[in-house]
Order: sequence, then C-alpha cells, then structure tokens
Amino acid sequence: MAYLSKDTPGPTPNLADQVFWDYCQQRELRFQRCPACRRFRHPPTPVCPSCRSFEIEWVQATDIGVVFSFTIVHYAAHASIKSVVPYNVAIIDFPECGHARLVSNVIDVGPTEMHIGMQVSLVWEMAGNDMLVPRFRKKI
Amino acid sequence: MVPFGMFSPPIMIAPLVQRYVHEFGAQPEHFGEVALVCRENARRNPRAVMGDRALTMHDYLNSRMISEPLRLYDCCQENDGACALIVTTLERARDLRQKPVLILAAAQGGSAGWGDGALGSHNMPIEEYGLGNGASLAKELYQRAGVSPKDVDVVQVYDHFTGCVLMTLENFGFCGRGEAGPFVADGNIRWPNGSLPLNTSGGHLSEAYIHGLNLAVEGVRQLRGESSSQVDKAEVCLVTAGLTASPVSAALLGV
Repeated sequence: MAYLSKDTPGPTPNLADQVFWDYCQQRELRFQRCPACRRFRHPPTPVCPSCRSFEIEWVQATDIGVVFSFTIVHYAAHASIKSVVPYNVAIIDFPECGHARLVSNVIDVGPTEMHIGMQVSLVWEMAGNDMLVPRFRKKI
Repeated sequence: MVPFGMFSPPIMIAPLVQRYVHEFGAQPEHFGEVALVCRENARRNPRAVMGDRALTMHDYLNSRMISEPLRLYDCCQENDGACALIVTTLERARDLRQKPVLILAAAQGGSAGWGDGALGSHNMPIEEYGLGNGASLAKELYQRAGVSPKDVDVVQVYDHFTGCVLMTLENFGFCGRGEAGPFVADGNIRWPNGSLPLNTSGGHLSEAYIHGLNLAVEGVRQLRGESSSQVDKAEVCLVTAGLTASPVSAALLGV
C-alpha cells in the first residue's frame, strides 16, 4: 500500500517536467544538468538560469538522499488525507546533484523519529493515477 | 507537490520554519511571543476579529499542531474584509482632511530562485532556505529611503506564520542572523515599552488577514497618531509583505 491514499492526486506533468516524469516511470530519478556550465537545476526548465544555454543533459541521481527539512502534517487540508494524518512531507536533498531537492515522503519513519540529516534511500510507489512517484525509506 | 501531500500554505511553509529551528535553536516560546503580542494588540483594537479573545502562552503551547512545528496560533486567519489606501501627490494630500503620510521608499523583488521556493519545489538558494526571501530587498529599501533599521520606530510585518516574523526581523536588520527568537523573548516587539512594537493592530494573526493591506493601513494610523496601540512619537514605520514567495515587497512610511 502506498504511503498516501490512492485518492491523493497524482502528478500532472507539464511541458517543462514531462521528461522528468517519463524517467520516473522507468524507475529512474534524473536531474537536469547544463552541459555548458555544469550546474544542476530542479525543477526542470528549458533554459539554464545560470548561463542561458538551451543544452540539457539528464543525470541519474544516487539512490541516497538526505532529509534537509520536513513537517509532520496533523491537519487534513484535503479529503484524501483524512485517514492518513499524521504523515510527513520531507524535503530530500541530493548533495551530489548540486543540492537539487525533491518534495517527497519518508514512508517508514514515524512522526517522532523524523529528523533533519537522516539519510534515506529511494523507493518507487504508485500514485492514484497509476504514475510512479519517488519516495524514500530510512537508509539501513 | 500535491502528490506528496503538500496541500496548503502551512504545509508549504512549515519546512522553512523547521529548518530555521534546526539552524538557530528557536524555541516554541519565541514563536508564541509573536502570537501573544499580536493578540494583545488586537485586544485594544475594536476592529480586530480576535479582539475579544485572550490568549496565554499556556493556550499557545497547548494548541493543536497543524503542520509541525506550526501550531494553530502560529497560523494567520482567513477572513473576508476590505481596506483601502489612497496614494496621491504630497501637494494634493496636503489639501485633504487627513494628515498625509509619506512613502519614503518602496521596493519589490527579491533574490533569484525563489520562484522555486516554498510555494513550489523548495529549490530556492540553499543558503537562504530557512531565512525567507528578503535580505537583498531590505538593503535596497533602506538605501532608497535613506534610513537605517535604528531609525524605524514601529513595524507591521507580514505574519502569515509566526516563524516568518522572526525571519523578517533578521532580514530587515533589527537583530543578527538567528537572534530573532531571543530578541522577541526580551520584550522588544511589545507595545508600549519594547524597542520595536510590532503589528500594533493585531496583524494577520489577530486583527484580520486582508493580505497585507491592513498592515499598510495600520502603518498610516501609527504615523497619524491614530492607532489603538499608538507608539509615542512614531515617525518611521516599516511595512513588509510575506517573504516566503517571489517577488516580495516592503515599504517604509514616514512623516
């Protein structure tokens, strides 16, 4: 069973992040890097904000990230999460990818155990719209 | 960010406050002090929505968690309401019945990268993550107005969440980085005796959430000498907008 309920809306890819989500469907987490100035960037954009290059390469991230920050959600602001509160929303940092960060969840860590600096490893879960989304487990 | 349960502003802002706590050791009582100051100011303001409801630190600390570390009283209200400002030349304003207040300077903008900030993917510049987007704007605002933080008599800070008030006090130079918690705990933002009375109408937390404009109106009241928590001899008032998004803005009002 996925961390959030199947009624929680899944990703809705747009022109800029379609490729990111396409890779996710192949269970590959990839971030954009500019071949010209080597800067990573996320979320995806068509132009490098540093050097304005239109060139893009997609670099596969390591499977290990770090909890940069997080919150434990207690108030159900959406009907689909009424049955799952309290749950966490975590900001996962990838230091080796220029500190690109993902908003995600750590699926096997309880509210009192969550902490900044925790190492987590990538897992794939199916969202309600049958798209794969990157989530994380405590690194063993 | 909806697929991961980031549905509402408290959930979007809470990780910034969590990071701020992690980096600087801010205590729940520091955030609570902001909530209490706003409520006490609201209690003197007949227009304030929360004007008839007292709030104690015990109430604050025991209020329910919304999105950790944000408790109920860390979050502003949602209200229907309206207010207005009339902006004109000083020459015209002098012919009107009300005492004119000057816009010493206004600035809008912020640091690069905050479009991917708290309301987006949380990929704003990592060194500013727990601080909000505002330090560069503050510098420019003071330069344009020709004043410095020590010239400011009273502040109206965008208090969508108490933690963002602490970040704003630092970004606008009223205390050093990470020092806003002890700064408010020392009574500095209390009316009437603090060095920098804050949100003297009750702010968004306790007057009403009219998306920043009620803060500007209260700034005008202070400089006209008409506030329900009037600061003695107030001549310069800072009014800020919410610093967790992009662009951000602020104004310095004077007489």
